[in-house]
Order: sequence, then structure tokens, then C-alpha cells
Amino acid sequence: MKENSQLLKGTLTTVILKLLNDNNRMYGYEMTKKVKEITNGSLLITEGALYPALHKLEAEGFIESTIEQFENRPRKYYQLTSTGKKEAKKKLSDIFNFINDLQSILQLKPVF
Amino acid sequence: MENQIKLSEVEINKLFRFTEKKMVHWYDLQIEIVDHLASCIEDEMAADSKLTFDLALEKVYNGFGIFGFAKIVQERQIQLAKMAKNRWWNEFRNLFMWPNALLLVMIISLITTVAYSVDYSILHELFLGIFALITVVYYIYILKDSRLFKRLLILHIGSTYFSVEVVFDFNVVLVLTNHQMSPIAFSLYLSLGVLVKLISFKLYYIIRSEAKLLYPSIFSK
Repeated sequence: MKENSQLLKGTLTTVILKLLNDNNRMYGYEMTKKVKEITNGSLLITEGALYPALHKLEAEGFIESTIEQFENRPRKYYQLTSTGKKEAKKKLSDIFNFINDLQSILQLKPVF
Repeated sequence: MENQIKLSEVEINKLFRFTEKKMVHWYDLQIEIVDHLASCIEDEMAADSKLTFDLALEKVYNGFGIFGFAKIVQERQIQLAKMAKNRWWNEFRNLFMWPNALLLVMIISLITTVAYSVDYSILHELFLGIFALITVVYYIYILKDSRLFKRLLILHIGSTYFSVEVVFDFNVVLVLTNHQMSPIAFSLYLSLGVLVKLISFKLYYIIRSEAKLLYPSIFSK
């Protein structure tokens, strides 16, 4: 699992953009839970990596935040900006190309 | 089937104090960390009914690694500083874009014309007055913000990066130019001096307004 988390590091930004693209708005803990749920626990986003990545994306103008009261505490929600939506598309296309290249190198494509 | 656990207000306040104790002094970071801790603790306690709040907190905090919240705070400071710097340079670049550039040329031409007909020192005194006014208004805001009952990192970075204390010593400039400053150079020097201060003031005002929208409760008390 640790190895998988290391692999995730380089693609964390893309994962966050994709999650926000699919879910409109999310808060930090919700993202960690979602990734764990989708991957059946094989990928874990650590807090120490998630928040710096979110703050970087916010500083770059790809995501924006709002704060709302949830029960007895304030909660910060993130959502994509218009440039963030374009960036999400670009990053996803980049990663699919990368995966294709990786498959070619590692010969992972099925042979019929 | 897991039981739903909801932390009480007392426990949430305990989490705010906990972040403060762990060197997270900024409210804008505290709320994000507290919500994360609270959500995590609620899930842990729901999964294990014997787990107490304090033990769950310890377990969740350990998940942040040996540096605890330090990396999050440090990275947030770096990103906010980067954001402030980019905003400042964008604003400065905008001065030279249409239609602002036209206004800039008009201001410089006007000061140059005046500089040809009056003593530099009179004009310099006038500009020092304008600088003083901008600085006083700016510090009224800073003073007001320093009295807020919660500290915001975004305002702290803003006041550091958008400082209006630009070194502006006319006598030094005169010595450096050997008292040979042309009216055009003089007006350029004064105009840019005022504009740099105005940009910093404007940006601080903007981030303050944004913070007010995000954290209205802090500004209303």
C-alpha cells in the first residue's frame, strides 16, 4: 500500500482535479474518503500531502473555496474555477497519454 | 452497521485549542484542520465504540506524521506568499496595458510640465503628503485587523507583501544623481513611487474584502 501511495504522489493534483470535476464541490476529508472508497483502500491520500496540494491549486487559481457551517463547525469546500475545469481536462488527457506510453514500454497491452 | 457519532461543541472547541497548542495560530488554517480531525474522529469512534475522544484524537493526529501540522502551515505560507507576489506583479503590469498606460503617460506628462515651472522641492513636498496619506489610511486598516479576535494568515501575508513602506528618500536620489535630475526622470520617479504604494494599498484592501466574505463572523465581532 505504501508503494501505491508513492505512485499516487506524482498524480495527486490530477486526482484532486478529477474528483472536483466529478463531484462539483468537496471538502478535504471527503476527498481522502472518496479515494479510499473507489480504490477499496489500496490508495490512501495522506493529510500531509492533500492540503499542501489543495493550497497550491488554490494559489494557482485552479480551485476556489467557500466556507459554510456544518453542524457545530465551519467547513471549507473546494470547487473548480473556469481555468481549473480546463486544467482538469488537460491533466486527464496528459495522464491517459502517459498511461498509454507506460503500457507500450511495459508491454502491458493484451495480445490477441 | 456503524453508529453515527457527532462531536459536541465542547469537543470541537477542544480541537481548536489543540491546533493552537500544535502551533497552528491562524484561524483560516485551523478551521480546515479542525474539520478534518473532527470528521476523522467521528468515523474512528463510530467504528470502535470503546474508543474515547482523546484516544481517537491521538490516533488521528499520529496519522499526520512526525511533523504534525507543520508541513501544512509552512506550505500554506509559501503558497499565499506566491499568490500575493503574482497578484502584485499582475497589477503592476496592468499599469502599462491599455487604457491604464494612457493614464500613466498623462500623469507623467502633467508632472513633467509642472516640474519645469516650479521648484522640485515644492513638488516633492506635495508628493510626500500624498505618500503620508496613503500610509496613514493603510495603517488604520492594519491596526483594525490586528484587533480581530482571530488571526488570519491571509491578512498576515497580505500586510507583509503589500507593505506600503517603500523606501522613498528624495535626498538620497538627488545625491545619487548628482543633483542633475531631469524633470522627466523626476516625474517618472514620483509617479512610480505613488503608483507602487497605491497598488499595495489596493491589493491589501482586496484581500481584506475577500477575507471578510469568507470569514464574516471574525469581522462582525
